[in-house]
Amino acid sequence: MIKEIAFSIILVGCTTTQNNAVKKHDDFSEDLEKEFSFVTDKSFRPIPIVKYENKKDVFTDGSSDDDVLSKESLDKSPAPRIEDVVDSDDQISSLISLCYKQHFPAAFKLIDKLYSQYKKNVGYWNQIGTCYLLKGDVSKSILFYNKARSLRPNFAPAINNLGVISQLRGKFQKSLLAYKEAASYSPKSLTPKFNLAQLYLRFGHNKQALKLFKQLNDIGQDDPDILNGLAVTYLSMGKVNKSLGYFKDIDSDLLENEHFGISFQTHLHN
Amino acid sequence: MIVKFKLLFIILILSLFTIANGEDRRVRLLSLIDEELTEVVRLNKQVRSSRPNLLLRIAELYLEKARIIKEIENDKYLSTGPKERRNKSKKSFFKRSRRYFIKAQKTCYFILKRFKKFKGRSDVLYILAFNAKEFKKDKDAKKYFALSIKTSKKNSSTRKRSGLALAEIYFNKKQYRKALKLYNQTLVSRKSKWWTKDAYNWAWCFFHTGKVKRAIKLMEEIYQLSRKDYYYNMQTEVKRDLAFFYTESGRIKDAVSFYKKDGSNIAKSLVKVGKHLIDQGKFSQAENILIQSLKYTKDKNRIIETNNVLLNSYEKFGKNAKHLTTSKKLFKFHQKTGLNEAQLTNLIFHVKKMSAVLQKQVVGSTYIRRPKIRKSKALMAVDYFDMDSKLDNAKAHLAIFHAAETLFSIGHYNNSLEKYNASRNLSLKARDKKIERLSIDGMMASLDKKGITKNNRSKFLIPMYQIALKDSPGSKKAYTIYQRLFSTLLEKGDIEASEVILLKFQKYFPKDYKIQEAMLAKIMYFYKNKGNKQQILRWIKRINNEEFKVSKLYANKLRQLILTMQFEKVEQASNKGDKKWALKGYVSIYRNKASSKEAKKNAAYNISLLFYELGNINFTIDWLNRALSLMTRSDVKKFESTFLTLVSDFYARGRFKEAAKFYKLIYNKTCKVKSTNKKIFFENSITVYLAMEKYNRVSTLLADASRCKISKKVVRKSRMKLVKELSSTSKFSLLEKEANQLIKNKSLWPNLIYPFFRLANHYKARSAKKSKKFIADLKKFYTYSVKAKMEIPLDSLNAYAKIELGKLMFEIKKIDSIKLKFPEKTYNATLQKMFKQLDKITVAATRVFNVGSGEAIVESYKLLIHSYRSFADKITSFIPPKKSADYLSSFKKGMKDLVAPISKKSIELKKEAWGHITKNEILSKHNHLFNDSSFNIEYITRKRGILMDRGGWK
Repeated sequence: MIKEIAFSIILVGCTTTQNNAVKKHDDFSEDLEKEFSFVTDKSFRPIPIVKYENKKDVFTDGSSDDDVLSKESLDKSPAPRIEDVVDSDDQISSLISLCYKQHFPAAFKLIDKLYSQYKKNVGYWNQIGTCYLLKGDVSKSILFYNKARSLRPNFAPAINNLGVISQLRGKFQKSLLAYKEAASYSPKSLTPKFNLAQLYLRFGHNKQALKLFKQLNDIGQDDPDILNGLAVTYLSMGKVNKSLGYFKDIDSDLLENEHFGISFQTHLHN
Repeated sequence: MIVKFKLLFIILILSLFTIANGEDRRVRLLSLIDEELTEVVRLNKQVRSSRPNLLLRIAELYLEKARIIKEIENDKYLSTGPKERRNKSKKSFFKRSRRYFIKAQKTCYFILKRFKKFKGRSDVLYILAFNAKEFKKDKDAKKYFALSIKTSKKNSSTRKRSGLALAEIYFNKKQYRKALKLYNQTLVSRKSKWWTKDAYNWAWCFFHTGKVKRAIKLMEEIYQLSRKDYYYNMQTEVKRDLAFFYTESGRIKDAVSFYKKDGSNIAKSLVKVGKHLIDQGKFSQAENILIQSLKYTKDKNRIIETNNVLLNSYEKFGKNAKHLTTSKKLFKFHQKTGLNEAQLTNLIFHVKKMSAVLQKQVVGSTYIRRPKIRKSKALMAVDYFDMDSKLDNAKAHLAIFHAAETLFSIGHYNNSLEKYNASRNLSLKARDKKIERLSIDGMMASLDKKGITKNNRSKFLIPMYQIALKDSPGSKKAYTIYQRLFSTLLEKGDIEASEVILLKFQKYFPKDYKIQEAMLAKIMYFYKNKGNKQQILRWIKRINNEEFKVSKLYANKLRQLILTMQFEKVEQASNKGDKKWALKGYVSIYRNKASSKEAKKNAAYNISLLFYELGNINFTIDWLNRALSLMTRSDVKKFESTFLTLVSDFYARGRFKEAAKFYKLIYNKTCKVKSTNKKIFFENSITVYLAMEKYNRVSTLLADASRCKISKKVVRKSRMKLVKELSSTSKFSLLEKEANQLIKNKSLWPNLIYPFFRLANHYKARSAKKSKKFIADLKKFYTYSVKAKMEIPLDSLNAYAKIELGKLMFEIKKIDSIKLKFPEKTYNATLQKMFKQLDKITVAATRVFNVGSGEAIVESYKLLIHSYRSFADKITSFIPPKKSADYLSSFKKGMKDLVAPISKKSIELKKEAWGHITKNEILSKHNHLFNDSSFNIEYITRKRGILMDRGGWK
C-alpha cells in the first residue's frame, strides 16, 4: 500500500525540498480530530493473516454419534448443536452456525469483519459460498465456492458443495462426479460419501449405496440417516429382515419425519 | 738588375703615393710610368723584341699603368650619380684600364711563347696570375701563382709574393689548410713590413683549423709587432679578434687581462667583438661575448647599449624569449632612470614590432595545431602589449585591448576579462568610443565562456549586462543579455531584480512567450523552494489575468506546483508513518474550498487508499467514488492496477453492487485508451453482473465492447457465459438474441446445442416455424461437433438425445396405433407391418444410444422394452373372430411360437439396460425399472445433498 501512495506522489510531479518538520498537533480543526478519533496509528498496523490449517478444519464442539457428519458439516445437525457452535471461539465455526441459523445480516457482518485476517483462508471462502446458498443466492454461492477452489483446487468441501448445487439443479450426473472428485481428494471425508450413497440409492445403484452406507455406519452407528439408508437399501434388494432391523434402530419419533417415515411405511406395506 | 730595382722602386713609390695621396699623385705616377714605358718600348723596338727582360719590364709597366688608371676609373665610377650609373654599363667605366691589363697580359704571353727558357719566367707568370686575379679569374690566378712558385727560386721574392697571393686566394675561399701550408712557407721571416698584415690571415688559418693556441700566440705577436712603426699596424683588428679567440677558447680572463694590459675598455672592446661577430652572422658567439661584456661595466649607457645590441640580434635571429627578457630589462631601466630618446625609440620599435608579430602568429592558422607554442607566443605578446601600454601612454588602451584579444584567443577568459575591463577604462579616459565598445563586447564574450571564476562573474557580470542593456535595451544582443542577467540575479538570490528583468524583457520582447514562461518558471521555483505560497499565488494571479501568456503544459506544471506545496507536509507525514495525520491532512485538502480539482482528486485518491489500508470498506468505497468522479481517463489509466486491487476486494467482500459499479466506471474510463487491465475490468464487470443476475447489463456491455476495442475472442467467451446462464432461466428473448450472435463461431457449436434446445422447446407452442429452425440448427451443431470430434457437454448431449427420443416415440406411437384384424390375409399383412415398424423402432433406439446421453439411453431402453412387450401382448391377446376352437388352438400355438423370441428379446433388453446403467453409473429416474429389486420403492432423501463445511479430518 505504501507503494501505491508513493506512486501518487509521483503524479504530483515535483520533489519536496522543504525541511520543515511535520507538525503533529494543532494542525487540524477540533471537528476533524473528532471525526477521525476512531482512527489510531495502530489501526494502520498490518493485521496478522490466519492461514488455513487442514488438521484444524473440523468441528470440535457438539459432535455426536447420531450425526456421522458432525465433524465436518452442520447441514444435518439439529438446532441446539448449531447454537453451540455459534458460541464457539473459532470464528469460522461461528460464521457457519450464523449462516445455518439463517442469521444472514450478522453472518455477513462477521464475514466482512474477518476479511482482512481470513482472505487467504480457503475455509472462509467456502463458508461464504454456503451462506449465499443457504440464503438462496445460488449464483453467488458458486462464485465463492470457485473462489475457494482458486486458492486450493482440491479443497473437498467446495467441490462437494458445488456437487450439492448441481444436485439441486437436477444435474445428478454432474453432482455424482463432484462428490466422487471430493471423495477422491479427501478419502477420509464423510460428507461426499454420504451424498454419493444417497444418490446411488435414489437411482437404484443399491450395491454401491450399501457399501458406502455400511462404511458410514461403522463410524457412527446411531445416525438415523445412515440407518434409514441401510434399511431402504436392503428393502430395495428384497432383504426385508435386514431392512427391518435397521428401521427398528431409528428413533421412533424420527419415523414421523417424511423421509424416514415414508420408507418405513412402504416397508410395512410390502 | 737595374730594371728590377727600378721596378721595385716604382712600386714602392706607387704604393706610398697611392696611400698617401689622391688623384694628383696618380697623374704624376702615370706620367712617370709613361716616360719609362716610352723609353723601354723604344729600346725594345731597337732590339726587335729579342730581349725578354725589356719585354717583362713593358708588361710590368702596363700592369702598373692599368692599376693606377683603374683606381682613377673607380673613383669616377663611385662619384657618378645613380641615374647615370644605371644608364651606362660598368664595363664602359673601366674601358681604359682594361686595355692596359690586356696589353700586359699579351706581352706576358708573347714572352712565355718566344722565350721558353727565360729565367724571369716566374715573374711573367706572377704578372699573368695577378692579371687573372684582377679579372676575377680565380682559377687562372691560382694556376699561374702555383706555376710562378714552382718556377721561381727558393727564398726568391717572386716565390714569396706568389705564395702569399695564392694563400690569400685560398683564405678567401675558406680553404684554410691549403692557405696555412703556404703561409707556413712564406711567413717564416718577419722582415717584411707587411708581415703583420699577412700573419693576421695566418692566425685565422690556425684558428679555423682548430689550432686556437697557435692562433692566439700569433695574434699576440702580430699585436706586439704592430706597435712598432716599421710594421703595418694591425692593432685594431687584432685586439678585436683576439678577444674573440679568447672567449671561444673559454679564456675570458686572458682576454680581460689582455685588454687590461693594453689599457683598453674591456666592455667596449667585447661589445666591438660582439658587433663584429653579429655582422658575420655568428650569433651565439656574439651573444656570449656581449653578455660577458656586461659583467665588466657599470656604465648605464654601456649596459643599455649592449642590451640594445642584444635586442637587435635577438630580433634578427628570432630568439623571442630572450628578446622579451632583454626588452623587459630595458623597460625596467626606462622606468627607473629613463632611456635617452634614441634608446627609447629603439625599445618602443622592438616592443611594438614583436607584439604585433606575435599576435599575428597567435591569431593566424600556423599554430592552431600546436596549442602549447601558440599559448606561449600569446603570453609573450601580452607582455609586450603590457610594456607598450606603458611606453606609449597615448595608445595604452589600444595595447591593453590587443592584450585582451590575444588572451581571449587562447581561451584565457578570466585574464582577457580583466584586460578588456582595463582597456574599457583606459578607452574612457582616451575618449576612444570604438575601443570602449569593443572592450565591452569582449567582456561579454569572456563572461559567456566556461571557466569564468565565480569571483569574476559576480564582479563583472551584472554591471556589464546593465551597461550593455542601457545602451540598447531592445537589440538582438539585449535579447540574450536579459536572459543571462535574469539567471545571474536569480542565482544570487536577488529575486526582486530578477522580476524587474522579466518585466523589462516582456516590455521589449512581448511576443517571446517561451522565454517569458521559462523566466516565470524560475521565479516560481524560487518561491517554491522558499515555501512562499503567497508570492506564487501573486504570479499565478498575474498569469490568470493574462499579463503573461503561458503554454498549456506550463499551466499544468503550475497547477502541479501548487499541488506539491499543498501535499508536501501530508506526504512527509505519510512517509514517516504518521498515517492518521496524513489522513486528516488529505481530508483537509479535499474539504478546503481553495483546493483545485487536481488537489481534491489526489486527496480523495489517497484517502481511499488509507481507508483501504485500514480495512474500512465503506469509507474506501466512498472516497474512491469521489476520486474517480474527479479523475480523467489518463488518471484512471495511471492507477488502474490499484483500482483493480481495490475493486476486486469489494467484490470478494460481497459488495457486488459497488464492485459492478466501479468495474463498469473504470472500464468506461479506460475504454478509449490503451490499457493493460481494460480486458480484466470488462470480464470482471460481466462476472459480477452475472452473479447479480443482471443479464441485460451484461448484454449491453457485450454490445458495447467493440467500441472499447475488447477482442472478439474475449467478447465471445463472455457471451457464451451469458448464454449458459440464460439457458437455465426463462429469459428466452435475450437468450435468443445472444445465442444467435454466437452461431458464426463453429467452435462454440457443441455448447450451443442445449441453449438452442431450450429455445426450440420455448417456441414449440408459440411458433412452430421458429422451433423447427432452432431444432434444425442444433442438429447441424451436433452433426458438426461429432464429425469434428469436439467435446460435447452433457447438457447438449441430453438435449440432442431428447430430439432423437422424440423420433423413437413417434415410431412407437405408430406401432401402438396398429390394430390386428381378420380375415387372415389382413392379419398377416398387419403383422408384417408391425414387424417392420418394430425394426424401425429398434433403429431409432440405436440412434439414441449413439448420442451417449445416459438418461436418454435408459429412457430409450424403457421405450424399446415397452414396444417389444406391447407387440407380444398385442399378438398374444388377439382372438380371431368367428373361428373354430381347433383353429383358435392352432392359431394361438402358432402365435406363441412367433412371439417367444420377441418376449425373450425384451428380457434381454432389460438386462442389457441394467448393464449399461451399472457400468456407467447412470442416474436416471427410470433406473428402478431395470434392477433386480424385489420392491419398487422410492428412496426419499433430503431435498438436496449435504453441504460440507469443514475439510479437515482427524
